[in-house]
Amino acid sequence: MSLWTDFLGCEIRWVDVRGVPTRVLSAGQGERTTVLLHGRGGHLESWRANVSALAQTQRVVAFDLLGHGLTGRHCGGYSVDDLTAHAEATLDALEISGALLCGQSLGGWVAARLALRRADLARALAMIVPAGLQSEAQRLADPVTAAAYEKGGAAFKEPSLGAVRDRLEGLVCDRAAIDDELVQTRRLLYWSPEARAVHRAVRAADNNSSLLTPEALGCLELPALVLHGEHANTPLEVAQRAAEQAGARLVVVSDTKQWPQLERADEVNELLTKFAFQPEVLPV
Amino acid sequence: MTFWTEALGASVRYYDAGGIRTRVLEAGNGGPPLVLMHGLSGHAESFIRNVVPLSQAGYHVYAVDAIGHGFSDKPADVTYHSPVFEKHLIDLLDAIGADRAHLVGQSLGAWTAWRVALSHPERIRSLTSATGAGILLSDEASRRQSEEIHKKVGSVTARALEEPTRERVRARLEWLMASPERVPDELVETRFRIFNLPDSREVMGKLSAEQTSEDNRANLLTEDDLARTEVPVLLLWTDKNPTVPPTVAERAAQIVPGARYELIDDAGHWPQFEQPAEFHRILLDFLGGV
Repeated sequence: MSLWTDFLGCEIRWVDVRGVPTRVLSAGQGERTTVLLHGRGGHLESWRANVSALAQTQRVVAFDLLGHGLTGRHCGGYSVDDLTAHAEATLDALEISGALLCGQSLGGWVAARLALRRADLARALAMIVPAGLQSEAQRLADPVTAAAYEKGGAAFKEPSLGAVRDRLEGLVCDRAAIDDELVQTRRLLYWSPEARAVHRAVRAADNNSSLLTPEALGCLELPALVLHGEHANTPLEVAQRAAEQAGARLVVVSDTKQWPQLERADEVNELLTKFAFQPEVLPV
Repeated sequence: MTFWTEALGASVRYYDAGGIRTRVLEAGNGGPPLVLMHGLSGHAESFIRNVVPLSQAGYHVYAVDAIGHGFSDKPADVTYHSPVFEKHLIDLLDAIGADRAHLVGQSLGAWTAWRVALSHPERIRSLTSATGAGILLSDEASRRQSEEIHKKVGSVTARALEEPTRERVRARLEWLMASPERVPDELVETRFRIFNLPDSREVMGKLSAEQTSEDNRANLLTEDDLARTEVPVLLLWTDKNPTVPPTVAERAAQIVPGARYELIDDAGHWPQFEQPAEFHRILLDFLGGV
């Protein structure tokens, strides 16, 4: 009902990851760990509707990607490779391996790259409306995506309440899913010019060598799940092809767009929990 | 502002304090340790508006869930009289590596902090009693008043603990404040969830009964205790405190060597939450002069 009560009892601390103070939230216990990675311009508050539910049955860890949220910045770039390297070092610092890596959008892309780079880190992979399935040029050739890109990008220039709210509402089907507190929080996180510079750098980065091409997806050798928002910007065919190439099960979550984990939290939490416990038995 | 946005930048850590897993809201960069202790049936969120601002003034701030409270461990096999709370506080100071800490206690937290300041003055840089419990003035009228307050707190707390519905929790919280609109829904929800944790249901009723019992009155702070207090003391009271009236604090300030007394207007039992700006101003001024 509020971010504080959504995350009540969770541990929140900063871990030094190769000199970058990294905000890490964790909850729950058990043999199984699920790692949650947020998307573009995001932060771990994106998982407000998921941590507590998942923590009933497993250990859950969510952290802010390099330069995002309340994680520090570094002197280098913000390509997907850079974000992946930081995520890898974070998991090593936390001594996490064999986890269910679950990411939304950019976080899904990073999760896949992590699984490709370090098979030991991931037991299973869940990608929620993953990015990286198309080149930036292809992606922006779609007028719907291009419009969302423009509108959503205003918050990266000038974080007015209106611009931030616009960005967040662009992620969901039902605007009521975005409350004032989430807008306020994101605005605070976008406040410093340096933070917004990171988001612009993420957008501008050349990630062509990191794309989740058919070849790359074909190299994934672990159980995988793709959650596609019914009204997501990515065309369904693109998600379907990617799921096939990855040997992944595809689930379309109705009445959602980019953020099914918030809009249909119960459904997504149930899917992720079943998948975490029996990744070999993909949900029917 | 909400709890989350007010505490953005603070950590939530779990320390082992003498075997008691202890939740702490923490903020700061290694400045002088400042430990904040909540009241009976409370939790660290009592100080959610204070942790980050006080850390920005240069202190390393720790708002602690006391033993038997919040998300800290709640052993069922102890008697919740003052010594148990005191031991937990000292163990917590050890766990956070604080050789000498500033203590700010509200209500029960102040009683505990004061007893530690008497038994371990070398560990305490200063002591602030914010609408604190535990003071027993010698005259007959004060003794009777103290007993009444003790009983009142016990019964008001028991009512919320024995049947922790949101309505009863809200009522308990509204009793604290100068006006009911000051109790945000998320404070009710936070306390509701804490009161309904399995270990809370098992232990907190017993804890409250024992802490407010006749037997625990042996641990009250007498005028002799006040007079022999060595550490710098601030008695920070409010005009609408539902428990101990300002007159008691004023009198205590006369007995404690070098003590300072301040009154915050338009606040009840939680000045730190109801009037945070004024609370910070007075506290930082006191700490700066220590």
